Amino acid sequence: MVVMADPKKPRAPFAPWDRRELPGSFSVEETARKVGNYKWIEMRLFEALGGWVATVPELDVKMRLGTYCYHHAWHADLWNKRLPELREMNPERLTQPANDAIVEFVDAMTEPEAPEQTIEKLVGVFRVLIPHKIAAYTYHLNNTSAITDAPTQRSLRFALHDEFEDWRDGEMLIQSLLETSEEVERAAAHQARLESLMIKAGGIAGPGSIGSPAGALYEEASA
Amino acid sequence: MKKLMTADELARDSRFKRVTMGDQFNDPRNRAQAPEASGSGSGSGGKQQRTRFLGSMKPEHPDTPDRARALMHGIFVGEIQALEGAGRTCWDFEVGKGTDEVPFEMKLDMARQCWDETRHCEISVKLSDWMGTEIGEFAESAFLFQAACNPDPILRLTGVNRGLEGLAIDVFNTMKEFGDITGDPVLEFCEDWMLADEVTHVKMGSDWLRRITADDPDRRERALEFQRVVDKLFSLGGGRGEEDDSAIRLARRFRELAGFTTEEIDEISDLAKEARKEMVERMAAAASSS
Amino acid sequence: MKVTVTPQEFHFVKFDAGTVEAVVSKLADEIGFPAGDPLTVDIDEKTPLGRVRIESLSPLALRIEGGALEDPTAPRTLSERLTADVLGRLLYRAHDRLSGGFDDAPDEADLDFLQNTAWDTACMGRLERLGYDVRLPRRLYIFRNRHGFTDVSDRVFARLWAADSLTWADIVAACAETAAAKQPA
Repeated sequence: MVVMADPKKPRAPFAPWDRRELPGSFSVEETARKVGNYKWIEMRLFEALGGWVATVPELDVKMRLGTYCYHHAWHADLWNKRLPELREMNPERLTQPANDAIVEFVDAMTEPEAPEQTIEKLVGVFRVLIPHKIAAYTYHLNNTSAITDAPTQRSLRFALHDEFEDWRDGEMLIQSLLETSEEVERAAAHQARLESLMIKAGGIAGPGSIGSPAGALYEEASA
Repeated sequence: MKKLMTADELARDSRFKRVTMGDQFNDPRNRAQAPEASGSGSGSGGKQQRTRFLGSMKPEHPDTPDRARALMHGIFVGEIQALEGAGRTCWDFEVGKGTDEVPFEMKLDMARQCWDETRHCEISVKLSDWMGTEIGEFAESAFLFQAACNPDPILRLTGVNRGLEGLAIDVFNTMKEFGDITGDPVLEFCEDWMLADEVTHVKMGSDWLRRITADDPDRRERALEFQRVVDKLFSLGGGRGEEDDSAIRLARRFRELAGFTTEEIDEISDLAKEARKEMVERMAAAASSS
Repeated sequence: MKVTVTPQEFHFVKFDAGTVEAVVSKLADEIGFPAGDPLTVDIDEKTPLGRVRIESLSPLALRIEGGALEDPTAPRTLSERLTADVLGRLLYRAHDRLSGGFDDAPDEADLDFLQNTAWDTACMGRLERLGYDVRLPRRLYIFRNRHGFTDVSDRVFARLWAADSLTWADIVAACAETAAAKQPA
């Protein structure tokens, strides 16, 4: 005779190793706004990567751009699917840039077109935009509710996996292309220009994209 | 970055050499070969010459291994252009319902096609290594990208995804069979996987054509007419067809899987016969005038 | 050798007879043909196809369809590399036939694909050792395509490629070896 454990014995609803807490920093509306901003930037990015394929002569870069294009299109799709779940039944309405400054950033990032400008194209994406996306996604992942907003966290983790892989891959491509001091200076100048524009924008979701380092201190001081 | 670039602007490294379709059509040797190409030589000699001229992937022909190499290099540069074309479609059109706009989901499908074509480029590079072919060993013709330049996104999709990817189905099926017959495991493996993707791409083209032109029969007819032009051009003067000596056989079964109807496949077959007949007549006329 | 290329002037393609003569003369000396013997190379410039053959051994005469010498990246332009590749192979074949070791070999037109590719492999290996760019990977693929994609086939290829002298019996033995490996166990 097989002795079975009592199936009616009460168990805690959260296993001892499940330390997820309820509170999150963002409301449903705030989350939807951010997700709309994320979708917008992922769209601009995948469109640019796709458009650049034909303009880049380096065969290895040309082929990698095709893969990156899909990664960010898929992220845009993840965000597109999340929006109705956040009570936004018209995803187009929230598929918006965070502000005019991020539009200016994207215009500057997508400006390089000539075959001789592969360095600028890659620097804009892999030394400026993708690091800022990683920052914004990480901030969001760490600050949203692990219980109420689990679907957003899941999509953020999937996206971050691609972002880290692509960041490394793209950085290595840039390093392999930089052969002279002049090229290093070109890369640095373009990066600096775009970073300044990103600062004006406040990040891919506008001011507060990665929280406010002064915010916690202000709350302590006010308490 | 501007929208709607031309084939002349495609960026290439120094290994790639471009030829135009004009170079090929205006080759004076075409006129000199007209009697042989038309098969006007008597009996089996004429048929043999026709086969030599049109090309054949049958293993019993002495030139077949090198023909296979040249064809796969042609596929490689075609895949590069397909990647570039899909990428430009992501960039060239805004999201919307206008005739120069596309649905969001169609852009996603084009991005997915970018990824697929990237893999095809990667596969083609590895296959070239296997077959002893160097990158740039053969000239590149930009005809695929030229078809992908149409400013109407639906004509572009129809010409590329139904026309050219349909040709890709025929080519990959022929090469898969060639790999099987010659016992080449790498060639067969590669063609099989690429063939699966091409069926998906053709289906994308068929599905979007149907959805976007559901209420616009004129636009649908223009798209199908563009596809016919592409199909006829890429019948390669009879090189693609259902005749015994066709270098590339029309792959009916895979085209059906991809959403072509029997009538549509029959039409492509008829266009191929027409293309062959026109080529032979053109060359015979040129030979008699020289 | 005293090399004569016909035609001397080309109208359908942008070939230069002098360039072809120079390439062939150098090859003939390196392969070991007697200095004063005549050699004619007749090029059919009206075709883009690439069939080549030894028309006769004595005097030595080669018949070439122009496409065989054409640069695949520049239509109707001569490729010196391919000229050396194609004509070097034919000259080695001719030299082998004249050596006495290939008296049992069938006529060119009667060789089957296995025999042709095996013999070509042996010719191209020797041509490579003369310093010519003959693209071994291409030759390996062609050999595998005919003799099978097997370890035996690759070993036989390597042996033929490395051979500095051989006879018709060596070719026959090589073909038998690869054919046996293609049979199901």
